Amino acid sequence: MSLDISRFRHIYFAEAQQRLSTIETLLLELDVDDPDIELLNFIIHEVNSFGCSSALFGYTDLTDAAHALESLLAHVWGGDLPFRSEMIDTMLAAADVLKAQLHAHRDGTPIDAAAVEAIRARLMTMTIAAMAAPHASYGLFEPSQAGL
Amino acid sequence: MSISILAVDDSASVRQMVCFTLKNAGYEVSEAVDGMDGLEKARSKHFNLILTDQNMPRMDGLTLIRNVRALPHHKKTPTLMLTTESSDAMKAQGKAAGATGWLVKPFDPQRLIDVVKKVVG
Repeated sequence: MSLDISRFRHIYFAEAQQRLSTIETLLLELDVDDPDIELLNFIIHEVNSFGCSSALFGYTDLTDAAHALESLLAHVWGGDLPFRSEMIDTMLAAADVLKAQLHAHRDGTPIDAAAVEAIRARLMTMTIAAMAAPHASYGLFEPSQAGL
Repeated sequence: MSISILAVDDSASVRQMVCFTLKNAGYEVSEAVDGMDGLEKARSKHFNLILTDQNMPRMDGLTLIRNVRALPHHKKTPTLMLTTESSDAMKAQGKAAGATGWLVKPFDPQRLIDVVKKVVG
């Protein structure tokens, strides 16, 4: 028996809208100088849940952007990079874009794919900076022993 | 023809980083969530390079490399281990498994591109 999830779509939209509002509110509560780890953890959970439920209903643009937001939050949470006010600005901008796209999906209006990709790229660029290690190292084995 | 790369890592954020970096550098990138998934993808498609994490559920990176080497169409495909472990023992195991090289995480994006260019051009 197949499950028609479309009848749950209105519940998804209400829940997703609520999650984005919660995310925005909590982002504004974060102290840039001393971010609360528990609060960060909860925001990450909310973003993750938003992304997962969006995937369930086929809105992969929302899932991908949410994933980028979750990655940046996770690196802040993990202490990989110092928290900065422009990160909160970018995260809030991401929440705005997600909300606009969510409404577009709900109302059947055109999706602004460029806006989604732009905010995803901004989030990714910030996260990549966190992963840049000043002393990252690598090595290649001898070609004859490496299958080259 | 574009150069295709398979990125294997159980961390979604690392996969995203690798894909974002390499796609921006002009490579075609596919993702796999662990060694088993990577092997299935390598069985069905030829890649010019396989980048793999070591510690993953279901199948680790070393086992993936050994299995990939056994596939006729991937016998000579370069493989790079993207790992947090850089010990001599790990390097020796990687070399014995048939890896082309290794890159320590967290990686510098430009370093990743540089290494990939060295290996596949």
